[in-house]
Amino acid sequence: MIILLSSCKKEEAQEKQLFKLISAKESGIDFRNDLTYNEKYNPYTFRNFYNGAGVALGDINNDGLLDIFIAGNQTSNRLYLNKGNFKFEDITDQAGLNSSGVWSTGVSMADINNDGLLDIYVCKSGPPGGEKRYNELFINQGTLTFKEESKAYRIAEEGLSQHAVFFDMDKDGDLDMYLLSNSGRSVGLFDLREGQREIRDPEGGNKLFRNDGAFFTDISEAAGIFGSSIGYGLGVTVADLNEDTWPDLYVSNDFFERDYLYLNNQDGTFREVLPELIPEISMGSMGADIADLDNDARPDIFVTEMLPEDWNRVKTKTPFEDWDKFQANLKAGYHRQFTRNTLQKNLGKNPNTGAPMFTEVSRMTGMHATDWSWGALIFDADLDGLNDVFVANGIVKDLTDFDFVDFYVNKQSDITQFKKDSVLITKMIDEFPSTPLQNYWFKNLGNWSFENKAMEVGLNQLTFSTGAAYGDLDNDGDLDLVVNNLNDFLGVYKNQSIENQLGNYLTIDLKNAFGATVELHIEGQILYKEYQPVKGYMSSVDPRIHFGIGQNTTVDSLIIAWPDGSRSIQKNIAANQVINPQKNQTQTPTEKTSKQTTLTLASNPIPFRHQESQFVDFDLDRLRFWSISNEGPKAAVGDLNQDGRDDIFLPGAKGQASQLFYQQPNGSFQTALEGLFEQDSLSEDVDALIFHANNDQLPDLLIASGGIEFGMGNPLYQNRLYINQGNGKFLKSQQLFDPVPSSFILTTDIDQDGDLDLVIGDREQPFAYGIPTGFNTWLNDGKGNFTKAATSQEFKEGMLTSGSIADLDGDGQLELIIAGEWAPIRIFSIKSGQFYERTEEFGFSQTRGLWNTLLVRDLNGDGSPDILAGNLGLNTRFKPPTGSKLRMYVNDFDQNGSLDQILCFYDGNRAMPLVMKNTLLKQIPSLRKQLTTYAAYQNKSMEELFPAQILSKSLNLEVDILQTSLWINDGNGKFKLQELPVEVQQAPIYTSLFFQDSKSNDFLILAGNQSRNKPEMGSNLGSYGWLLNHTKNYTWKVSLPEESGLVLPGESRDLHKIIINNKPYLIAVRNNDEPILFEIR
Amino acid sequence: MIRLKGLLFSLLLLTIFSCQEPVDYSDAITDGHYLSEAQDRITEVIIHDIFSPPVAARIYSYSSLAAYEVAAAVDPGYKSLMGQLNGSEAINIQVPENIYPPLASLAAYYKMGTALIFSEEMVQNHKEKAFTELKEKGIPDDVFEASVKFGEEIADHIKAYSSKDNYHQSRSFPKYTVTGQPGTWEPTPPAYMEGIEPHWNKIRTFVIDSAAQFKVSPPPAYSTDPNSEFYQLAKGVYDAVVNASKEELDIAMFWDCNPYKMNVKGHVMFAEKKITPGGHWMSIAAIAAKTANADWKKTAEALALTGISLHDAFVACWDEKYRSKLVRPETYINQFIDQEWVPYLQTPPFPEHTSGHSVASTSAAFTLTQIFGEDFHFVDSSEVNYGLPIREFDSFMEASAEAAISRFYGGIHYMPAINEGVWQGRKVGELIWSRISTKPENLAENK
Repeated sequence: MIILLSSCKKEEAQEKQLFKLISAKESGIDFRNDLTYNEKYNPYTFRNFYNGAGVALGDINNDGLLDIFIAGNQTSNRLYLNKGNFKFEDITDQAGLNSSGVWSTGVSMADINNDGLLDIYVCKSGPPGGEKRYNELFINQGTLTFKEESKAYRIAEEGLSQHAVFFDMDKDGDLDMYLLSNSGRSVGLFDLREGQREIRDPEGGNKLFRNDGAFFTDISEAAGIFGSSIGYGLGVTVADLNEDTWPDLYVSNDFFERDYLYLNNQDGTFREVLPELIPEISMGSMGADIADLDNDARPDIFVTEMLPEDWNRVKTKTPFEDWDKFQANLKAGYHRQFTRNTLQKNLGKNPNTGAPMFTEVSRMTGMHATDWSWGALIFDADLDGLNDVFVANGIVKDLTDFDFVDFYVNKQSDITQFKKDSVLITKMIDEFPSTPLQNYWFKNLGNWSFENKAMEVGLNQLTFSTGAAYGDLDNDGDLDLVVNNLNDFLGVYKNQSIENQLGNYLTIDLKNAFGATVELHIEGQILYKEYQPVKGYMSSVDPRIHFGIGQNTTVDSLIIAWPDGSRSIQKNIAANQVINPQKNQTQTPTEKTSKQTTLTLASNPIPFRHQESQFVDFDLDRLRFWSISNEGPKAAVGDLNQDGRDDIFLPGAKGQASQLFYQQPNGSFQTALEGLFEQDSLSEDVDALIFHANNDQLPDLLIASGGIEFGMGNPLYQNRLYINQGNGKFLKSQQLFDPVPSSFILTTDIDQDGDLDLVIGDREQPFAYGIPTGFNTWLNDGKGNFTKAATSQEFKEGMLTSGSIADLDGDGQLELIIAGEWAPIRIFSIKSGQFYERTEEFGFSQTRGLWNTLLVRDLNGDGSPDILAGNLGLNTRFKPPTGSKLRMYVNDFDQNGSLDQILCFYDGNRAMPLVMKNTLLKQIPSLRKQLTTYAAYQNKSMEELFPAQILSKSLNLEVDILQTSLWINDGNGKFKLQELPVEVQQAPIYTSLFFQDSKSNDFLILAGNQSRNKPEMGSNLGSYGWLLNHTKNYTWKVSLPEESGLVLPGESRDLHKIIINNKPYLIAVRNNDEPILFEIR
Repeated sequence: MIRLKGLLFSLLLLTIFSCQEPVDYSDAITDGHYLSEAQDRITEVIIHDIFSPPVAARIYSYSSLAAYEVAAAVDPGYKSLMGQLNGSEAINIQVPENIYPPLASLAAYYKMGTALIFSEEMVQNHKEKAFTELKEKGIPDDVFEASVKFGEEIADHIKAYSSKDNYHQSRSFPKYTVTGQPGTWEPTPPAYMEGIEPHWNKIRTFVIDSAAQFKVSPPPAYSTDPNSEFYQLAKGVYDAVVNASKEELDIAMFWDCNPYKMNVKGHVMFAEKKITPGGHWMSIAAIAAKTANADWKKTAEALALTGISLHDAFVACWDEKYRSKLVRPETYINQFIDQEWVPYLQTPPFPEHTSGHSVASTSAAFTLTQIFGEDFHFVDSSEVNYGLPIREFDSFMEASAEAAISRFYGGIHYMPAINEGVWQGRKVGELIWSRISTKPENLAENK
C-alpha cells in the first residue's frame, strides 16, 4: 500500500518536473553509444576515444515532426522517424544510413542542395583505413532514403573530423561549410612552439568550404581560416557577434591551443581576432553555444571545459597550469587560458573600433565548473522568456586522476608482465576510476544570476553525456531534449512546461534562411535569437526558432532581419503558435543614430609606460593565489611649477625611475628633473602626494615607496619628500621615513597646529604576508620636518591598502577611514592629535574584505560623505558557499622559519583548504607523511591536517564581504549599504573617481583588474572600467561602452581628472602599461 | 577478548622458546645482504615518493652513515666519521655488552632512512619482515632489543646531525624565477616542471668546504649565431641524437635514471619512475661489496662513503646549475635548429650546466675505486627491476665515464657540462678521500 502510494507520488512528481525521461521502451529508441577498448584502440592510442557523438534533429520527410538522427562511435548511426507522441521508428537501414564499422562524430542537418529536403552530413573520425572512412553527405531523396554524394560534392574529407557547421557565410543564399577537425598530432611536447598556428596541416586541419552549387570548394587559406596541426577543435558555433548581420565563427580548441574567433569580412574572408576581443578563455575548450542570455539583443558565448564543481574532484583530478607555464604560454601566443568553463558576456561594440567587447563572467554566475563537459545548449526550457543553459557532461574514465597518474607505475613488476602480454594499456584503463555524472541545467534567474537545478527538473540521471540537441519533438510548444550518452541509452527528455502551464511560446519557422535574426518586442522587453540550427556539440538543433514568452499572450512586434539585409515586421501576434513569416512588409533598417559618448578616447600626450618588475609573488610565497606586488602606480596631478597648468607625477616600479611631467603651453608634456628621480629608481614607487610641506606656498611632493620585493628594513622602502624650490626645481629633503612598504599617504592638520601632517599606511611586512599592518602619523614642525607620533591604535587583522579623511558625521571633526586586504573598514575620529575608533558606531562592524581602494565623498547629493570601497568582487572561484567564509590561516606550520598561508572555506566547524596538494607539500613537506595520496587529501580539513595546539596559534584572517560596496551616509553618521550594479562585481576594483561633465551630470568610474593571479584562481580581467550614472533617486547604473566611451583594458590603478589645454580629461594610470586619456564631454 | 587470546598465545610461545637450548646466532648476519635489502626498500620509497636526485642522495648518505657508525663503534678497525664530517660531533655512546652489532647497524639504517622519507609503512613492513626472520635465527629477545635500541640511538645522533644541514629551512626558500632572459633555463616539455632545488647549494656539505669549492669553467657564451661555439655545441647534441647508434641509445637509456618521467597523451597522463643517479650508484656500491665478498661492516663503509661522495657532488653540481642557469638543449634546439626535435631522454627539470650524472657518477666511482681497487669487474644489474638489461664493467671509472657521456647521447646535455662535470666529480671525490678516513691510520697516507 505504502509502496503504491509512494510510486503514485513519484509519478505525480515526475509529471510536475520540467523534464521527463522517456524510456527506450516507450520511445522505441534503443540506441546506445557503447564503447569497448582494446590494446590497439583505446583512449591512450586514440585521444578522442571518449569524446562521444552528436544528435541531429530535423524533419526529414516534411511531415511536421522532428526526426532524430544519432551518431555512434563503435556502433552504427541511426535514423529514427518521429511517429508522433514520442514514438519513433528506426529506419536506418532502409534509408541507407547504416555506418557500422566506422567511427562517426558530428552530425549536421541542413538542406544543402536547396531542394526543400533536409540532407545529412556525417563527420568521421577514429582509426584510419577501412570502408567509408571519410565524411559522408547524404542527400535526401524525399522517399525516406538518402544517397551518399560526398565525393561528388567534394567534401569526402578524411582525417579526424569533429563537426561541420553549415551557414551562409557570403549571403549568396546557399549554405557553406566550416569543417572542424581534431588534429592527429600528439599533445604534450609541442605546446610552446611559436608560429605553429599559421602552418597548414597537410593531413587535416580545420577547413572552410564555399558552396558553389554542384560542389564545394576549399577556400580555407584564401579565407584566412587556420588549419594547423595544433587545432584540436571540439566545438564550432556560428553567430553574428559584431552586429553587422554577417555570420562570425567561434571555434573552441582543446589542449594548449587557444580558441579562435573569426569575424566575417563580408567578402568571403575572415579575420581571427580572439586575443584582441576576449581577455580570458577556457584551456581545454570543448563544446560551446552562443545566444543572448540577458535579453539585450547581443549574443553571449558559453564554452565548456572540465573543472569540477566538487572540490574533492578538483583536488584529485584537475590539472592547472603553474605560473611559469602560464606565462610561457602567454608569451608564445597561446593567450590566457584557464581550466574552467567560460561565459563571455557581450558588452556591445567598442566605440573606438566597432568590434564587440566581451568580459568573462563564468565564476560570478557559478557556471564555471560543470566537470568534464561536452555539449552546451542555450535555450529557454521553462518558457519564462530567459534563455537557460544545459550542459552535458561525464568522462567514462577519470583520465586525469592524480593518484592513478603517480602511483600506477609503482607496480613495476605488473607493468613488465603486462607489457609482455600486450595488455598493459587495457589493464591500465581498467583501473582508471569511472564516475558517471549528473548533467547541469542552469535556470536563468535574470540579471546574470543562474542556478543549477538539474536535480529538481528531472535531469538527475548519472551519465556520460556528450552531444545533445533541443527541439519540440511533440509540437506542443516547449523544447524537448535529446542527449547522446556513452555506454547508455539515448537520453530522450520530454519538456513538460506546456503541460504544467509554465508559460506561453512563439515558434518561427524560417526554413532555409540561416543567419536571419529575430527580435520579439514585448512590453519594452526584447527577446533576440539568431537562426543557426547547426549548433551544439557535434549536433544540430530544431530548425525552428523558439521563444518562451512567459505569461504574455501577445507579442507586440516581431522583427526579422533577413540574411539579405531586408527586415520584416509583424505586430500584435498571438502567443502559442508556429508562424511562417514571409519577406513581405519589409522595411529598410533605420540607422542607429550614435549619440556622443560621455568620454572620448584621446591620444595620450604623456610619454610614459609603467614597467612592472619581473618579481613573482608566488616564487616567494608558494601558497598565495594573487599578487600584491603590482598594485602601483598611483599618480599625482597638480600644478607643481606654478605655471597654471596641471602637471603629473608618475611613480615607477622597481628598477624604473619615477617621472615628473610638466605640461607645456601647447598641451604636450615634458619630462623634468630626471636625474633627481633616477637616483631612486630601485625603489618601487607606488603613490605620490602633492601638498604643502613647509610654509613657502610652493607645493611639495611626497613619494610613497612600496612593493614587497626587498627584505625587511630595506631603505628602498622609505618614502621620499621633495621640497619645491620654485621655478619647477625640487630638492630631495633629508627627511627619513620608516623603511616599510607604504600603501597610502594622506595629509591633514592632525594636531591642529596650522600645518599639514601626514598619515602613512603600511602595506605589508616584507616576506610575511598576512601579518597585520597599521598606519602612522607624522607630525610637521611647520618647516617640512616630520616626526613620527606615538600611536595607540591596535592592528590585529589585515594589511592596509587605502585611506581617506573626511568629516563623516558633520561635527566639524575629521574622521580617518582605512581599509585593507583581509582588513575591516575602520573609522577613527581625529581629536586634538589623537585617534578615537568609532567603527562600530558608524556601522562598520563585520566589514572585513579584500579591499583595494576607498572613495569617500558625497555620492547621493545630500552633502554628506558616503563611502565607496573597491573589493575583489564576485567573479572568483574563491566565493565561499553559503554559510562559509573565506579564511586564511597564517602560521609557520612546520617551524622552519617562514610563514605559510593557507586559504580555506570555513563553515564554522571545518576549514577546507583550497590549495592543491602538490603546492601545499612543496611548502610544508612534512605533511607528505599523512598525505601520500591525493585521495587522502581531498577531504582533509585544517583541523585534521594540523594538531590543535599548532592550529590554534595561527593568525586567522577572514572575509565578510567580497563585493565592491557603497555605503550611503544618512547625514548623522549612520551608514546603509546600497546595492551597486552587478557588473561592478565582475572584477576587482582598484580605483574609483567621481566627476561631472560639462553639463554637471554626475559620473562615477570604477576600474581595476588583476592579471597576476595563479592560473587555478584565474586572472581577473572582467572589466574595461565601468562608467556609472545615476537616476533621479541616485541609483547608480552602468552605461555600456557604446554610450560611455569608456574602454579601459588592462589593469587600472588610478584615475584622475586633469585639465590639458583648458579641456577636461580623464586619465587612467595602468600597471605595466601606458596611461589612457579620455576627453570628458 | 581477542587481545587476551593474543597474550595467551605469546605466553605460550615464550614458554616453548625458553625451554629450548640457546642457539648460536652469530652467523645470522655476516655480509651486507640485509643492509643492501634495506637500501633497496629505501630506493623503492624514494621512487614512490618522487624525491629528486639531490634529495635522494641526501637520504642515502645519512641512512648509510648511520649504519656505518655502528660498525665504527663496535670495531676498532673502523674509525667514526662523526667528528670528521662538516659540523659533526663525535658520538659518545657506550656500546652495551649484549648487543648483536650487525643487527644494531641494520636498525640504525632503518631508523634513519625512515625518518627521511614519506611513505614510512613501505619501509616499516619490510623491516618487520627482516626482523622476524632474524629473530627466527635465534637472536634472544634481550639481545635483539638491546641491539635495536643501540642502533636507533646511533641513528638519533645522526638524525640530529642531519637536521642542522638547512634542508628543513630550504623547503620554503623562493622558487626559481623564470626570467625569460635569453640563454637562461626555462621549464621543459612535456610537464614543464619548475626548477628543482634552486637553493641546494645552501645545504651543508659533508666534506667539501663549500658548494663553490670546485668551480667549473662557465658554459660557453650564449649565442644564437650559427657560427658561434654555443650553437655548434647545441648542433652537436642534435646530431648526436639524430645519428645515434643502437649502442649509444642503449647506454643513454641504461643511465637515464629519471625519477619521474611524465608521459602525456591527450588528457591521459602517466608517470614512469626510475631510480635516481644516486640510487644507481648506491646500488653499484652494494653490488661491488657483494662481488668483493665484503662483510657487513665493509659494506656499510662502502655505502656510507659512496653516499657522502654523492651528496657533496650534488651540492657542488647544483651550485653551478643555478649560477649559470643555462638553457637546456631541448629549448635551444627547438627554437633555433629544429622545432620538432625531441631528445632521446626526457629533459630533467633543472638547468643544464654541469651534468649531475657526470659529477655524481665520477665522484662515487672515484670513492669506490679507492675502496675496492682500480680493476674491478662487476655486473651492474641495478636497473633490471626497471625493465632494463644488465651491463658489465671492468672498473668503476669505466662505468662513470659511460654514465657521463650517456647524457650527451640522450640529448639532454652539451659536451662541456659532461667534461666539466667529470672534472668536478673527480675533485669532489679526491678531496673527500684525502680529508676523511674510515681507518684509524689514514689510508691515503699508506699509499
